[in-house]
Amino acid sequence: MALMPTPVETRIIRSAATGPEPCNTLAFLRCLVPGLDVPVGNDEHVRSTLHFMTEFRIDGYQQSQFEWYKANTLVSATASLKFISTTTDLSFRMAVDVVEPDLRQHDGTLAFKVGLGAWMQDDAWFGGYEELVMTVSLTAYVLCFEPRAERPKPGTQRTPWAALVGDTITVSDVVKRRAAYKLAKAAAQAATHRDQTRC
Amino acid sequence: MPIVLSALDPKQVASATQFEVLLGDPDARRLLIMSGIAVPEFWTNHDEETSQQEIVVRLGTHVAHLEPGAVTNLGLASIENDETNFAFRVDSGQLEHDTASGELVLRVQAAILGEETWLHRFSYQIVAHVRRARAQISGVIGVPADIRDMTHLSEGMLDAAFEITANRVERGGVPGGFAFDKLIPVATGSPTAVRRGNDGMQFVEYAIDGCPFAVPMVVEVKPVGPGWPGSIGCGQVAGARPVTLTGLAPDASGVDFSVSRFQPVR
Repeated sequence: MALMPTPVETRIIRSAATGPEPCNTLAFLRCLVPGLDVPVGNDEHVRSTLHFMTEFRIDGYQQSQFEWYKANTLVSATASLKFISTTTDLSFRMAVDVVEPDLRQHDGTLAFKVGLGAWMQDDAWFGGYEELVMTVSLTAYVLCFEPRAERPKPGTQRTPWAALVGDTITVSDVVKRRAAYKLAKAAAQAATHRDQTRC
Repeated sequence: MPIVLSALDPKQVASATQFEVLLGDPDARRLLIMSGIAVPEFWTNHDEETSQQEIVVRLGTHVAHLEPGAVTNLGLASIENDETNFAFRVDSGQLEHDTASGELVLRVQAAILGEETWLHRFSYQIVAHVRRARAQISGVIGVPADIRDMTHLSEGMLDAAFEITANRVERGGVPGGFAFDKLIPVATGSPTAVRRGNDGMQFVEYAIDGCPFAVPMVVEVKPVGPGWPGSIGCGQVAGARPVTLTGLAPDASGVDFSVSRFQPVR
């Protein structure tokens, strides 16, 4: 069974688009790629494909229509080095080789596979404490179809859970209803009491 | 000499993607978004003198007009240095429109410093407002009335009577064997009108819209569906073959065909 890709914090902004049909939503995403998850040893070439999940999920996604969504969701993404560091004077290579979008079948979340590479070599006689650090940021434009006219606010997203919470009864609704019930009950009791005292 | 890369070649530009967005602008203006990781493999071996290089990325996208104010965003993607002082630089890039071909081109100024120092790759993302050219091939298909009366056909029947395609040509075959040309459709056309000519000829006008630029294309017209007699053929009688559209010549007319009977074998 495939492991769930790592989720990463994502800045999202959506806006309306009029096409090409059937697309009606253009979104811009920005996130940091989780770091190279393979330790880099001295004079060792390392390549790793990082699979991670953004917070962007196609609104109103239907799993049964996955092939249709895959054919009608366009992604243009790239990634670049944002921070590089070595703990000492090293020969080094730090690389972002490829970026590949991956629409998740079960919930319409957009994930990415980013191919990273690294290499370092320390000529020092008493080495062994060398480290190499790189931070990679990814930006992507997504053109897709989302059925609802109103879209989540910039920087936010709708999840199945958010929709559920939004659509169900809130605590304040319950409190208001309970208060109204109590008032009606009290009024009915008062009326009964009045009738009994008259008799 | 600039390093020239093509976004159509994955070895020169990795993960190249692009799409257009319609924004409800009635003026056919589109938002064009392009991303990729260019592979210039720019190298130097000098840690005292900065090496500068112009890099041109041919984006493989052809437009009629590029509006000023395109946004280009670049970043370092793959770098290497051999334990010396170093510098890596790419500017923010400039999106240009090659008016001869209509192709969009990204021009980047890069600089590096250091021994055994490489700028293997840099990433780019471009957002631009563009207008598409009316890239069209058009012509007429001559049909003798004694083969089929075209003037009384409804629009739908006329549309169903021909298969009209613009095709790019791919050379096939195995070494030592017969070579052959494989036609791969890149755009489809349809009849637009019928007019009656002299001597019982009818001329069906057709147009193929949305043809790509800078690609040699062969137009094919096939009479299809019911209503045609047997033993007929359709061949090109005028116009270029192949046809190549460019930004300066975004349409080609007079690519004419004629339907005729095969002569009986005697």
